[in-house]
Amino acid sequence: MTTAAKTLPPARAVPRTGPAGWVLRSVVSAHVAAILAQPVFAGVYLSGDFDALGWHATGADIVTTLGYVQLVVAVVAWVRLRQPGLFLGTVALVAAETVQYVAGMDGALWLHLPLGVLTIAGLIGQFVAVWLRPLPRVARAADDLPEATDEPRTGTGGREARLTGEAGDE
Amino acid sequence: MSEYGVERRRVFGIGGALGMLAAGGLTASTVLARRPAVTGAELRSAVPLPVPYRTPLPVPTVLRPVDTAGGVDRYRVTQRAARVPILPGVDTPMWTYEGAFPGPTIESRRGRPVTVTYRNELPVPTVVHLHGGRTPAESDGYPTDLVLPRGWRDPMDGMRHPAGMAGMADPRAVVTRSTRTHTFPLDQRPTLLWYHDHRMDFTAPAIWRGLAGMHVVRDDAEDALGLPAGPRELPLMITDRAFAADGGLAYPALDPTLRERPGVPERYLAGVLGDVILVNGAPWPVHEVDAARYRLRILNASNARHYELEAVTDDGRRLDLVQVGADQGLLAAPVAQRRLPIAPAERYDVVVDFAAVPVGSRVRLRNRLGTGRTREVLAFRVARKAADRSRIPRVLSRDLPTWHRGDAVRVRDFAFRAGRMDSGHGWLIGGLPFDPARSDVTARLGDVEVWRLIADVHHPVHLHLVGFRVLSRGGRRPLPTDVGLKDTIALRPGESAEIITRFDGYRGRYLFHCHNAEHEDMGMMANLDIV
Repeated sequence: MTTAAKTLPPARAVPRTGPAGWVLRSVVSAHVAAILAQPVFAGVYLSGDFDALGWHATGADIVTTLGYVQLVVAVVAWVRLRQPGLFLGTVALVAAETVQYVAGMDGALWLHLPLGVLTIAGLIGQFVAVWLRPLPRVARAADDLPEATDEPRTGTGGREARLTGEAGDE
Repeated sequence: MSEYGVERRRVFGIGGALGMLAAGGLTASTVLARRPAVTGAELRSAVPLPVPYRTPLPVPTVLRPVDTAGGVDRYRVTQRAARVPILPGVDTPMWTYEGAFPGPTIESRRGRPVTVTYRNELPVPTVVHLHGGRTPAESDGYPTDLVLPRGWRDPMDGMRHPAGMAGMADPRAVVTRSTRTHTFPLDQRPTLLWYHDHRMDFTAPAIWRGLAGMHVVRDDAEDALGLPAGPRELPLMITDRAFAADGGLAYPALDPTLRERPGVPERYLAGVLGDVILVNGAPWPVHEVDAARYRLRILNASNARHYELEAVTDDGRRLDLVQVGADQGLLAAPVAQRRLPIAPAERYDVVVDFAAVPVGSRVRLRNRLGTGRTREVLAFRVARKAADRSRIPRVLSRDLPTWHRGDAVRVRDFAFRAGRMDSGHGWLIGGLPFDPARSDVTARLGDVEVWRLIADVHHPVHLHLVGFRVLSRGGRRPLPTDVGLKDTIALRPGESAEIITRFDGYRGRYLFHCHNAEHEDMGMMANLDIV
């Protein structure tokens, strides 16, 4: 909340970006919480609790839906903030989650297990990225800064690159 | 430029390294994982293997009753060692029913009781179970109801267990010497059953050595359907085996005499697979057929190997396998299948039509789950045009039970998974290895129950006494091949299924277990008491 307090006043100065940052944080946070429940349900299921398969399936629906919501939010972040890093990272995550969903339904556990671990690792990286420091607040003003023009290049590296992108905004 | 003192280049480096590690992990999984998944380890034969589709398909002889008086067919079967020609020019020492592998087929009529007197002339205790039989408990072949061979020192000699089941005696065991007579009322739907050894801790090597045979139940209603019959009805027992250099069967038993120490080395814990596919005891056989419909009664009697069968012509066309029956008899209506996934102990009753196949060409029954030679199973060579008066009626039966979820008085969950027994690894149901003296499930005669089964790797789950229907698989609709009344359901890795059944027939102590024979020997059985 203290971070929020620090972030919001400048956001008021550029009204359209502040709420976007908060929406982004909320969606990524909900996404992380949902995805972390998935291995829990899977473990409970394999311990012999049939109902947990239903939870795992519902969890998959929620996680995948949140992935698509995050994709929309990331598009907004890209357009408004000229910041493609988060968007590209989210594209990769959503692709992984879609494959993950199909692999799970098909019982291709050789893919489902390692991909699940990687997806969670990637999402945790995004979670750290959006919470570690104040989110970029500017947009239009930043367009003219040299750092901002770097971002399309740096953004291709995924979420790690986005960290540096945010650095540029700051 | 830096952020918290971190160089941008370094951030790229970390990102790139993580990306490569992720790609490496997924690639390793793609390369190392068995796709499709296979549970078990394959033995390699040490003898040259025959070219597929040269050996003619044998059909097991039908056993003649010794007496048919009083409305009961009485048979005698001797369990004995014999040398059986399996590979061309090689005699393989086996343990057999009546000197043959597969054992002789018993033909029976619905509701007409059969008694079989088994004489044990093998060097180890035996016990016969009629798989799929609706049999009173005392004749069901409980694993400790042993028939001891002559000269077996002590009734408990056959009852030693791995440390996980240490000191486990079964006070309810009924042990006899030399012979045992089983009574099979056969008051059940017509279908293909099979009989095999079910001795505690030693079922897998006993079946591997040859203790398996088929048993058909028929009735007038089925006869009247007009399905292909006579020489156009073929019982097909599919097994995999491996051969040692001397032509004997290779099997990694910890105690090759099968007298005291059960089990296999850890490497084979998940199941023993052979590299030779036998049908009715012949390696990759070929059968000459008319260009007509044939009824194939397929049984997978392998210890651990799953197959996914398809019928492929020489020009690559897939023929329909029209399923008319499941484990426990006729379906309500025929279902055209392209592929038949068949797990150990499962049966399919299918009709395949060779009418459109050019004379002189072949139709191969192939296994999509195999690799190399284990992809091949059996070939049919279409020899001649022929008249065909057989048919596949739209309605096959009207007596399939229609249980609904609402009928169930109880829902039970069972996890089938690997685990530790007291020492060493084994296979557990609901976290426990088999103990004949423990009561696991007690069901009231006549009760309908739903069971929810969950597997970690492949587990073909079999219930004695009853047939069941599949309600769901993996939380979704059952497979097209799950139709009809079954007694064995194949769970794939991580898969679950809901089945519904009614416990009727007889009271007494029965079993349910995984029919991967190595798994069942290493703990994966549980008691089912019907009261």
